[in-house]
Amino acid sequence: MKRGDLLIYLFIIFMLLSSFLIYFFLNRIGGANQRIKSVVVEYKRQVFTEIPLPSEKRTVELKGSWGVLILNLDGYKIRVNPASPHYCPDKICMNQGWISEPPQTIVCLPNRIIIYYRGGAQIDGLTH
Amino acid sequence: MRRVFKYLPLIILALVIPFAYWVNKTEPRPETIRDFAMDTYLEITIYHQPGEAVLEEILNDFKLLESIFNRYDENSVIYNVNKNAFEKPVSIPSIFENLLQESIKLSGYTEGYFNPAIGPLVDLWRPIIKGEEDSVLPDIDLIKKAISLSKTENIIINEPDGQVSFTILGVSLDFGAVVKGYAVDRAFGILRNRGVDRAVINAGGTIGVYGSPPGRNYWRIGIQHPRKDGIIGVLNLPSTTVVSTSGDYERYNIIGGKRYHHLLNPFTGYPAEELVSVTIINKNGLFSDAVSTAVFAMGLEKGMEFLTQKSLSAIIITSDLQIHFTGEAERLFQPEL
Amino acid sequence: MDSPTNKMVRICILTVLGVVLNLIEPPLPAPVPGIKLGLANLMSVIGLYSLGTYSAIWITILRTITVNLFLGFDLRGFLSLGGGVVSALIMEAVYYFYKRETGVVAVSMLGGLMHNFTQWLMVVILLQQPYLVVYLPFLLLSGVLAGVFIGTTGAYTLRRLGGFISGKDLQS
Repeated sequence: MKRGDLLIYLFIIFMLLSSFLIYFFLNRIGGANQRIKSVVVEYKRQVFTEIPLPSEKRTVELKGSWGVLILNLDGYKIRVNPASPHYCPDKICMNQGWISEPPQTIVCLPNRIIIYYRGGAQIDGLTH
Repeated sequence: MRRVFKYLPLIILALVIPFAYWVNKTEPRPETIRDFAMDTYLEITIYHQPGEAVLEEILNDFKLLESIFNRYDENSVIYNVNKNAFEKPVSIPSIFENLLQESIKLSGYTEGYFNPAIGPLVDLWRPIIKGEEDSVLPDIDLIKKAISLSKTENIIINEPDGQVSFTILGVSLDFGAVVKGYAVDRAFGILRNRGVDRAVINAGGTIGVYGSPPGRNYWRIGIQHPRKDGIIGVLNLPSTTVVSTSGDYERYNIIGGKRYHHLLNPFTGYPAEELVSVTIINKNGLFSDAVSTAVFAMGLEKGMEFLTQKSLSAIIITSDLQIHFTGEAERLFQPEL
Repeated sequence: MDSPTNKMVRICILTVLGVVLNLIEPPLPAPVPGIKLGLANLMSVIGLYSLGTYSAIWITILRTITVNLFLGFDLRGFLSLGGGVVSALIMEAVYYFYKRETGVVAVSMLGGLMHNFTQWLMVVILLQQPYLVVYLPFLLLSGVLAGVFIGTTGAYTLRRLGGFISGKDLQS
């Protein structure tokens, strides 16, 4: 082995070590895979609000075309509160319960509200 | 000479890099639109720049289909047809005639299990399934009457004049089972005309993937678990395909411990039993939608026989949550652990 | 014998060999599953150490462009061009400045590492998918391992055939 080779080896080891360190660091802060970034609420094609995830336990009021929906957030989980006083006429969104990951969405037709995750998409679509 | 030789590689690079960059420019990033049309949720993602015009065109087409085929909208073509076609022939636009004829063909193909004339039965069950107050289970005589009305033979298409008429009073068309798949097919046509390379069209659970997936080998389409949140598995699809699922978990109402859902058997007149979910994988959306509806009504044995005989790819889930495959489906399916 | 024409012809021969290796490699079984050896880079290393400065970059660029003419220029071609050029440039630089202090194997390992690192960097920048960082350690390691293989094979070839390739055998 020549003298300069040592420097090259040191550089290679440095690159490998730092890449592994980045990898483990990212793994620690919650999944190095595509991560869920936020939850987006759209009303009539416009982004009404976007909330970064994970979120602390909180509620958000959403005014739609029909009435007001109360959104519950807890970590990555989201639901429309089934006890929302200003109910939506077909109640599908209210009875849906918690969603926890993409591509799950909450869709409220009468209110024209769409709630979906940004980031973290593992599949292209959901057939049902 | 020697000098040129030394620097030539860099000169070539200077020429190639802009070219390669240009090639790479044609690899567009996805653009997504979300909206409602046809009484359902739509999500369209295209890999094309600029994408907005194409997205708007597809969305407008969906809205056009809604204005024609929504049978509960008094201004729609189908409402007018269902109301007046017995008294006098009604003029219909070419889209309507096209879908009607294709549907009648598919009705024959599925031995009547998919039925575009099922309107009378749907109207009978609709209050129950929607869970409307004071709704009672329909009387057997009413069901028998509705079954006799729900025959495609009662429809007469006058092709040269572009008109349709009914032979008996009370016939009613309903394209609810296939309009989403038809919309996906039309969207594919728009994508082709606009030179879009790849796209995902989600029309209320009927999903069309168009072209090859971006930077990977497969499109990944999840199949809803019929009895709980989340997915039962994923389909890995290499290229343009429409996946359509008929499930009893979408629109239903439970009365006296029994589940009454929107997938009616046109021969018994009651919601089909035995199966909980049927997924059809095909190049054509209208076909996928019609066959998934038909196979759901056929039940396990008849459905499996039909699918095998026609060599179609399908995933059938029975009420005990057993998964059955036909055709290519097992190879494409990846269960969710 | 040290005329530009002579060197150019020898570079072209190595390029053609590289193209062939490039085209026949995919169907061959990989020694370690998932690791692409990049056998064609062997020709760049051999060229560098037998024909001297500028030959590695020449061989790499010509080979990548030729192979892409066969397979169609797409994103993958762009990536392999970028990775190849950066790794060849780095090997050229090390050879040019530290020829006496470095050996074939180490330089080839450095080349392999930089090849994969550049490709990864290009994917992250072009496709804007930073989560791809998960692949980095594996890619770098496989680049280094491929470099070890290319380096030892190259050193062995050079010891036996170096004179023949450079044409120095004929001079003596």
